[in-house]
Amino acid sequence: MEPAVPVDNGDIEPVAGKAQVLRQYLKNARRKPREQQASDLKILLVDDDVESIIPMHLILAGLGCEITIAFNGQSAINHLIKRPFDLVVLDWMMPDLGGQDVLKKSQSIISNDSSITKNWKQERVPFVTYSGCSFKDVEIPNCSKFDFVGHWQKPISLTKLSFLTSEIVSWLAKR
Amino acid sequence: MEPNLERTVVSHVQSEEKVAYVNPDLAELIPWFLDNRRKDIEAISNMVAAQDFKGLERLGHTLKGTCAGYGFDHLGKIGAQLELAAKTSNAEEIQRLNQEMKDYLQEVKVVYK
Repeated sequence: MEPAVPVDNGDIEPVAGKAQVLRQYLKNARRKPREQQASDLKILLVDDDVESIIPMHLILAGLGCEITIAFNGQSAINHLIKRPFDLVVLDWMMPDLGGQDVLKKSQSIISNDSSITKNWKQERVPFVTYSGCSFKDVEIPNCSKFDFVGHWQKPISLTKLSFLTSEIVSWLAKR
Repeated sequence: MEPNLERTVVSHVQSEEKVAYVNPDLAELIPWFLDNRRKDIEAISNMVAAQDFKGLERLGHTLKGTCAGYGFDHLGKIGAQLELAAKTSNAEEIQRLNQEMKDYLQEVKVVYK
């Protein structure tokens, strides 16, 4: 049997009213079997909007990626300090902690906590900003632990999202 | 008699707007997605009444970003216009867009492909 997509259920609770649909979707969502996978990349998907997450999840799961979802900035930080991911897809505009805060706060925790720094070693995690803002409105902070690799501006059709995602997954898999 | 090209083009564009091409993997979620949009119509009316233009701007921004991922590009365009109208506190334009969204939801044809 194919492995279910791993999702931290604790993150789903705050998404009032939409949690049930997402749970149902994720229950049916499956990664491709290992022999058909284009990649086995571990991706952190950060977005406060459940409806935005689902199409992205669908594409990444179809490419065989192992996806972890964070529905807010704090949850993203909690995941990031546990381990480096192969890619972070980061919504830039979120209530409370936005994409920029996530990078700065994670960087600060990772750099100052020796037990976390050990897990990260020399790692630099690539991230893509995913937002309704144009790139000129996205101020990328200078972080030694994160590498900016692209900006995907919403709205993006599923076809284009699929193209962009395949392109970056293929690039990451070859690195 | 020569065909009225302008009218033909406009009619084609209008009919294309009312067709949403949706990935079959998302089929189960479409009733939920459309139901959320119907709730948005009510939310927009309430926010206009309360003159909550910040809330309307956020909702427009969310619609702009979300709808194309499901194949409802035209709803995304309405969202973008809603965001702009809310930025200038243009209640009349917001109400017009809300009516356009209502009409669209009644007429849209979903094609799974």
